[in-house]
Amino acid sequence: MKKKLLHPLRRTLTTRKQLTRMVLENTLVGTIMGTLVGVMLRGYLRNLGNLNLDWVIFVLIGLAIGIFSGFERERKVCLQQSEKELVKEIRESSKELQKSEERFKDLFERANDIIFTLDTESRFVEINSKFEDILGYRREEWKGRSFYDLIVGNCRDNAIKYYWETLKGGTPRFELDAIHIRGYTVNLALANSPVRNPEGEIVGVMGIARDISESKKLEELQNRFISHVSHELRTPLTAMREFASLLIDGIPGKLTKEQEHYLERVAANIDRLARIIDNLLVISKTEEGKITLEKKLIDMRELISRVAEDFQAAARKKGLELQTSLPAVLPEIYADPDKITQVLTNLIGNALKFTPREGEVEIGAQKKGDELEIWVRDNGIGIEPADQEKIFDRFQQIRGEHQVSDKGAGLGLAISREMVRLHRGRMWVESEPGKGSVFYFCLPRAQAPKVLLVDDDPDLVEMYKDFLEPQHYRVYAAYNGEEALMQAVKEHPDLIILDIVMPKMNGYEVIGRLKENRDTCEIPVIILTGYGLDQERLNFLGSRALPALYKPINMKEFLQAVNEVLAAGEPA
Amino acid sequence: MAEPRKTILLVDDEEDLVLALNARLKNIGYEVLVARDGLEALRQGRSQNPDLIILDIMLPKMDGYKVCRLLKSDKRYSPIPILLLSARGQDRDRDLGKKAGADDYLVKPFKSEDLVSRIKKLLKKSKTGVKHV
Repeated sequence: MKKKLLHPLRRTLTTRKQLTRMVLENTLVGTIMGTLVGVMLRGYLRNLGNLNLDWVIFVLIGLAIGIFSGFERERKVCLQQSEKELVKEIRESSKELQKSEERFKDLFERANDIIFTLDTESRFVEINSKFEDILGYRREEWKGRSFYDLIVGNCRDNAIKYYWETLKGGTPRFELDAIHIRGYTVNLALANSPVRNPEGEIVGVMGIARDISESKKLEELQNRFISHVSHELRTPLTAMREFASLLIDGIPGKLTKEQEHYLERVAANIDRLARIIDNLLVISKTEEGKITLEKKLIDMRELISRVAEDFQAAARKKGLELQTSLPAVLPEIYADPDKITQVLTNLIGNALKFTPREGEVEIGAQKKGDELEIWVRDNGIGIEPADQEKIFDRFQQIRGEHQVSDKGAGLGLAISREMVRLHRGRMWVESEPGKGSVFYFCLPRAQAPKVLLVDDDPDLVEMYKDFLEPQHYRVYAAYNGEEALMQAVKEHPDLIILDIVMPKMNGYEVIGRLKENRDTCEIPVIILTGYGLDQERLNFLGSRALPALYKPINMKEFLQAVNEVLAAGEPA
Repeated sequence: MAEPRKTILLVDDEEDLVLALNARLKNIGYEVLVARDGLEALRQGRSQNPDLIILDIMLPKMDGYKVCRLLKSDKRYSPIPILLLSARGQDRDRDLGKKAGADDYLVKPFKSEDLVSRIKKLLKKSKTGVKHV
C-alpha cells in the first residue's frame, strides 16, 4: 500500500524533460516582461542615478521571475496529479478493505467455534452464529448482557478470574460449563485474548470457545473404564496372593524348601502386577491432570529418615549399606507428603535394585538458594549418557547386560518426575556407567501463606491469631470491612477469614467489593458466622459455595478448613 | 487361649477370597462368619454381634459404604470395628470410607501380614475402649 502511494509523486518528479521545458518557457516570458518593464521605467530610474548596467539587471530579474514561476507551475501540476492518484488509491484500498472485512466477517461467521468479544464490563459486543448452534440462544438477545450469566454457577469464579487475567493482558486457556437454552450443560474450552484499541490500550476481551462436550463424555467413559478394569484385575490378584501366602505359611501342610521358594516367586510377581496396575492408574490420572496435591508444611528431615528406615531391612537383606546425609536444619517445604514419599520410595527402590551386593546407597538433602535439593546416590551399574533422559519416559527400561529380576513396568521414574513437576520442582540424573548414579530433585522452599483475619471482635481476632501463628501462617488482622478491603489490596493474602456480622460494612458487602476488584477477586474466603448464611446472596455475588464455619468455632475444624482452602488454592 | 475366641464377620462376594481368608483367620484362631452381600452383612452384623467386620466395598444388593454407614450410625453397633477392603486404590475411595465411619481401610491386593496386623490392632483398640453394653 505504501509503495503504491509514493508512486505518482515519484513519476511527476522524474519527468525532467517536462520540467526543463516549463522552466525555459517561463524564463522567456519573464525575461521579455522584465525588459518591457525596464523600458517603461527607464526614465524614472535614470533620475535615480543608475548607469549602464540597468539592462542587464532587468534581464536578470526577468530570468529569476521566469525560473521561479516555472518551478511553481511544475509544483502545482505535480500536486494536482498526485492528488488524483491518491483519490484513486484510497478508492481502491477502501474497496480492498471492504473485501477483507467481508472475508473476515465470513470467517467469523463460518468458524467452527464460538467467537465473541466482551467489553470491559464483561458484556457481549460481537457474537458469531456458532453461538446459536451450540447454545441455542439468539445472539441478538445476548448483546449487551453479561457473559457470566451464561456460565454454570460453580464455574463462575473461574470465568471471572480468567476474564480479569485477560484484561490484564493475559491469554489464558481454560474450560467452562455453559448452560444451553434447554437447560443442559455444554462443556466449552476457551482461549481468551485482550482486544486493544489503536493506542494499544486494552478495551475488551476476545474469546474463542470450542464445544468439547463429546470429548468430555469420552474422557469420563475412559475413566470409568480404567477404574473398572483396575477393579477387575485386583480382585483375582487378591485371591491368588492370599492362597499363595496360605501355602507359604504352611497352613494346609508343610512345604519343602524348594516349593516354598517357588511360591515366594509367585507372590512376588503378584505384588509386581499389583504395582503395575497402581502405576497405570496414576499415569492415567496425571494425564488427565486429575492428581490433586494435599500440601502441608513438611519437615523433610523427618520424612527422609522415615522412608530410609523403611528400606533398611531390604538393604540389609541384599548386603547393601543404606545411609542418610542430612544437615541438622533443613528448610521447610510446602508439599504433599504422600507424593513426596512415593518419589523417594521409587528412587531408593531403584537404587537398591541396580546396586550390586556390598554397594552403597546414600540419601541426602541440602538447602540450595530458594530450593531444597534431595538426592539418592548409589554406586551401582550407572546409566549410559544416551539413556539418561530416556529413563524418565514412560514404559522405558534400559535393557542391558544387567538384567534385574524384580522389574517394573518402567513407569516409576515417569511418575516421580511428574509428581515433582506438580510441586513446581525438577528432577534429573547424573551418572557414569559402572560407577553409579545420583538422582536429584528440587522442591521450592515454603513461603508461609498469608491469612487475613476480619472480625470486629478484637478478642476473637487475637484468639485466631494465637492459633494460626504457631502453624506457620503470616497473620494479618482487620477489625472492620473498610480495613479488610484496604489490607486485602495491600497484602494480597492467600486467604481471608471473614466475619459476616460487622457494623457499617457487613461480610456480604466485603465479598461483593472483593469480587469487584480485579486484584482481590481471586482470593479465597472462609466465612465465619453466628447465624445462618444467605446463600442466595452469595450466589448473586458470583461466588460458589464458600466454606463457612459457625460460631462458636471448633478450632480443629477451623484449622482443617484453612488448610483445605490453601491446599486447593495452590495451582497444580 | 483363656479368653473367648473372637468372632470376625467376613463380607465378600468373591468365593475364592472368602475361602482363602477363612482358612487364614481360622488358622490364627478366630471364629469366622461369612456374608456374601450387603444386606446379609447388615443382618449378621446386627444379630451376631461380631468383634470385627471385614467389609468389601463392591457388594451385591448394598455396597460396603452403606453397610458401614448404617452400622456406624446406630449406637448399638457403632463400637464394632470395621475394616474396609477396596479393589480401587483411589484417594477418593479412601475418603469415602473415612466418611462412612470405617476404622481402617486396606487396598486389594493386600499382603496377609498387613491384614493380620491390622485386625490385631483393631481388636486391641476395641477391647480397651467401651465395648457393647
